[in-house]
Amino acid sequence: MRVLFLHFGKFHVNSVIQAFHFGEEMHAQGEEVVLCGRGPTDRIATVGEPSFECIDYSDLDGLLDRWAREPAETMICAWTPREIVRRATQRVAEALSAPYVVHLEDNEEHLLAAALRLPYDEIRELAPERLDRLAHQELIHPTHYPGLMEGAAGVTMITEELNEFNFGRRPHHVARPGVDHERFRPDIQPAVSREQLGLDPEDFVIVYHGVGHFANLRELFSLYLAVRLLQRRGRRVNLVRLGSTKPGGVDPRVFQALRDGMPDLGDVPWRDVPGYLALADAYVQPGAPDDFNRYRLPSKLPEFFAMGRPVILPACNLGRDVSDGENALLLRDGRAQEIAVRIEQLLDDRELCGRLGDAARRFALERLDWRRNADGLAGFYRSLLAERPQAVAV
Amino acid sequence: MDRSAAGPLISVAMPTYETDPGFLREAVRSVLGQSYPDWELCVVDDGSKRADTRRALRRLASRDERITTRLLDRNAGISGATNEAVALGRGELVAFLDHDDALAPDALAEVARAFSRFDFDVAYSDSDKLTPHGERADPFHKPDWSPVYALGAMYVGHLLVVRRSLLEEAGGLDPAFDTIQDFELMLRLSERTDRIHHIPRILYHWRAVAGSIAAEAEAKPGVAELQARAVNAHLARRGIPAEATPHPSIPHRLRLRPEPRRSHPSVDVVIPARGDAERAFDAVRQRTSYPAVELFVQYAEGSFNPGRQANLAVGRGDGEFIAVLGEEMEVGDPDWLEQLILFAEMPGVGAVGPTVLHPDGRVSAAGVATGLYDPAAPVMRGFEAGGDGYYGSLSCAREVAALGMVCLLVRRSFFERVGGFEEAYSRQFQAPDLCMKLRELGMSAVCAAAPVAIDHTTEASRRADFDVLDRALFVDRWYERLAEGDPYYGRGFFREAADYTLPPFGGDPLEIALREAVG
Repeated sequence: MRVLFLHFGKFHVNSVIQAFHFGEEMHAQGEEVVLCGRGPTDRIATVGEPSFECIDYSDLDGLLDRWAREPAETMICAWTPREIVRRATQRVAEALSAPYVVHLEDNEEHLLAAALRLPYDEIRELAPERLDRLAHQELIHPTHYPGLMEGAAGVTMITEELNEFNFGRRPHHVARPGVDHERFRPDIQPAVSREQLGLDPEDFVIVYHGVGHFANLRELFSLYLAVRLLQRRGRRVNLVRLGSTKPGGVDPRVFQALRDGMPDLGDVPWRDVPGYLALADAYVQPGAPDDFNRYRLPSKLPEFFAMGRPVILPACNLGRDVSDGENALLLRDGRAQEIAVRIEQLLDDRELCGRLGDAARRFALERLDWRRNADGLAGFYRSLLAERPQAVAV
Repeated sequence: MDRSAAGPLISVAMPTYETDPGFLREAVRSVLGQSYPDWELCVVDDGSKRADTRRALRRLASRDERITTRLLDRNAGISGATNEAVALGRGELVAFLDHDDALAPDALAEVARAFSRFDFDVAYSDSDKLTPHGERADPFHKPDWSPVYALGAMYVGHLLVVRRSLLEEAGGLDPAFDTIQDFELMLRLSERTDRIHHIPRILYHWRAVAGSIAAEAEAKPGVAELQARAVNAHLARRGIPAEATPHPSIPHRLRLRPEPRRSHPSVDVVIPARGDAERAFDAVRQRTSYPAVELFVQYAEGSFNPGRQANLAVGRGDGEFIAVLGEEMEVGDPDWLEQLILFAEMPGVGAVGPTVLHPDGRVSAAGVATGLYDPAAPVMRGFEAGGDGYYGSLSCAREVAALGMVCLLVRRSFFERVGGFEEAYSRQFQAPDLCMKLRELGMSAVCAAAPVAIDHTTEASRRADFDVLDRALFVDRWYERLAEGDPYYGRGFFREAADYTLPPFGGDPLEIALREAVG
């Protein structure tokens, strides 16, 4: 089987990490895999050395020519229905007469609404020419994306809730991410010392890694504020941040004031992330169980669990698979005051920290396995190809 | 707009009288050009003598089958003619259009869209004016439905859309109020429904011709008296013990005075203090005419935290109302409490504050505007007191998103229901936070135009009290509400300062948002 992942992002973004691992596992099982993304392909090196082919969208025509000469059973995976992917998927599906699967990892309608700061229902009612003018390659087009969903042979999704967007009621499969249990493990030595980062040895350290952008900056704002509120109360707690921050959604001056004095390491290659995560006493994935978080599973969460420290996360997505107080602490509204209360729970109970950390690691080992999840995904693709006559091509 | 989807039929009621045929054609063209197809235009001429007007009207019906015209033989007045126009139609919604004005091309589409989402009984939009040269000017970005503001200023105006069944139930327009007939109708409608929706887009262009109110506020004599008569009748029907009188110097504005009270609910005046609170204490003791007042000065135990101190003081008293006062405040008018209680007793009002002035007479705050980027901005800071503000925002009592801690009156039962002041703030934002909590329960905050109170807090002291964590905490607690925009400070304004400045940029706001989000 040939598998072509058409990804919306550049080769170093977090979401590519998942496609990379699925690709690696499938390739190891003898499948031919190509990952198509945006920009220089060598940036995949920040994730790892791929054993499969990576191409940029400008190389797609060359790939299609080659595959036309050497036909084989092919499954196209549209990694989200965003515009750049939708256009490419429909072109490739037609050129190869191959079926495609759409992979969902976010509530795309919410993302578009957040970007435009307008309820999705109102966006959908905008005049067609205005919608076309607003179309952006990294977001869905409200008029076109339902058609892509309905024309898919199947739909895969990071969490079952996303099946709401499976408009054609196509066969679906939940493709959970995994984590590399060897790279992310509790006994890794920190990449830098606390002293080098200006942290006090007594500080209770939270590490957060990931890009801050228009859709999640409000949540990061809550996390920074929670730490600040605790510091104001005299608690020894600090936050180490990895990843860049793009402005949007919050007052940049206030946000900067919250960040002042907290170590910020900026972009760090993903392969180096475990060493920095090892600095932490606990991890916090901020957010509320809302229309954004219910439908996603941030790729850092499996890594947090695998590191064997306490994890605080919203009571949705992966938070639904854990038990509050047993293998994680859950956030119900995700605001700073609640995050502060949860961190304080850990500060005041080191025994709880140890227990939650051990349970988190066990959870990762049992539930977040790349091989098993990739096998499931490949099996789903094969089942769709076996039903090929019923599959609908666009 | 999906033209295949069935929306409500909208009857556009248009009375004409001695109308310039050119203006009439423009008005009708604005209806014919609507992107929403399910409308009918019902034109009734009020006995025009002008031959060119009558000729233009006779030609109208042939232009589109959705147009109906009727020419009255004699003058019935604008209310009579408009009621006839309404009766000509059968639409579920009735929109009012004056004979020389114009609708924005997507006005009815916006109305239909809002109707499908909010199922309103009454809707109104923002508006602007058409100059004699045909240019658009003076945008009026209105607040969401503000029943207190409507007692002082005829702010609703056009575009006004009413559910036909409600319009009929209310008896249509009242000819006794010709000139301000739509305003008077709005007051009566508000007695029958609270499903009044504001569409924050400019959907109506009001022609400013010589002799019209659009061009000259004082063009039509006796308007303020008629306006006061309408409001007083409305107050009487609602059982509100107050009298509206024309503003002494600003046209078309009313002032509201409480009638003498028979009973006096008790008021606890609470002063959270870090100094001796002498100024506020003395002013209240010496100048307050209200007879049922108990004063509580609450000194700081540890660091100064006005919210915590106020909560403690409130716990010591049992007054029906609580008035929180900054220690540097000086109440001016002896009947300040009577005036604040007047609004606090109105249905739907949760908290009331006065217009706060600097000692030099300039405005310190006429309420607080909320938003994501300046989460609690004092409205009209620096304006000259005694002015009109923006369409009466300074001369009239009106709903505001929030109030400051310097002077705020709230009913004890409401205060307790929302858990009092949030003590996680160190010094600021407790009062706006309380107002936001009240709003979650459906209660508004009101800034009274009179009385005024003087805040002697120095700028240096204000700056010293600024706490970025308090600010961030307020944003965090109310992020979703703040992101929706301030319902009472028009959404069309630049929010760097709450001074009604229009944004310096143009273009599609959605494109601007998109650029900010994803480049």
